[in-house]
Amino acid sequence: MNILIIGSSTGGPRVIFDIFTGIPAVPMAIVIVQHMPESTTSRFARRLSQLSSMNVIVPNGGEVLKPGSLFITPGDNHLLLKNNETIVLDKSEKVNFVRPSVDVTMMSLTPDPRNFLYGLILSGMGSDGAQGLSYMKKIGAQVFIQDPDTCTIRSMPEAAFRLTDVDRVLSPKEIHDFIISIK
Amino acid sequence: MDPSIDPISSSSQSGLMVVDDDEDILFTVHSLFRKRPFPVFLAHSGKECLDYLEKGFKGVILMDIMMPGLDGWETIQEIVNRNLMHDLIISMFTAKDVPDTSLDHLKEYVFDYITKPFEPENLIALVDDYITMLD
Repeated sequence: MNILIIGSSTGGPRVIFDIFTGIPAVPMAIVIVQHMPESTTSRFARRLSQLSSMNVIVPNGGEVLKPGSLFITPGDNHLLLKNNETIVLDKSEKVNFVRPSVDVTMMSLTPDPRNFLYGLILSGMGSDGAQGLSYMKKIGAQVFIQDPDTCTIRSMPEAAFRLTDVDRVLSPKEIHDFIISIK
Repeated sequence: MDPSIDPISSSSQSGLMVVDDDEDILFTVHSLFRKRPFPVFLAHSGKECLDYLEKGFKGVILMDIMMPGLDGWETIQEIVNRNLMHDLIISMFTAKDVPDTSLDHLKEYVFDYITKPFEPENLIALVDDYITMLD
């Protein structure tokens, strides 16, 4: 299965809305880790369901990743993937000052030849996701960052870029095209 | 003259609040949004922002950073401390486009970062989008 983990923070939502506008149900499971308060999660998810044809889900824990699904990590929870497929929510300590943390989700993945893994870091403050993206690269994932020149806040993708030999630096339009290209 | 204000109690719909000590900015933003179908509130300080929130404001907040008294980040910290984050989307609204890394602990409460000067069309589109998301 194709699995894409997207890490995003300040300035990321408007990019995510642009990226997913008109996206059909692609044969890929996508997990968005957006730094946001718990009260915003359902609204963020509802907006995405209006913009794309993906099956948008705010998980409660225990859900299994399926192609065509877009999982929105609930605010105030870390999201881990058990065996790269089952969602586990966790209210343990904040990591990088945040919960959910992008690093936590990305570093819960394991190498598995049955999965094609992809990681992406969008606009945001701080460096959450840098360690996670580096880890994903080491276990064979293709890893990308949003072009910092297109970011509202460039710290997060730049921190990832400093730590990892990323495969591609993409504009929002190129990220949209990449997702659509998945077969 | 203060160009605001719709009484909060008269409406349960989401509104826009601009928090800025610069009267020109408040006037400009109010002029841009005065014909939009949602109430617009103008706060001249972090304290005034908190007062509106205590009275039940919900919606989108454009928050200046550099203000006398409580600055924008201190105001957000106080919003969190008072458990007033429900039904809000906060965007920083500032000329300073590089946030201080010491403020990382507040980043999960800040949805966006809009820099001044701004393109009016872009600001209207963004606020409309966020208001739609909340309603």
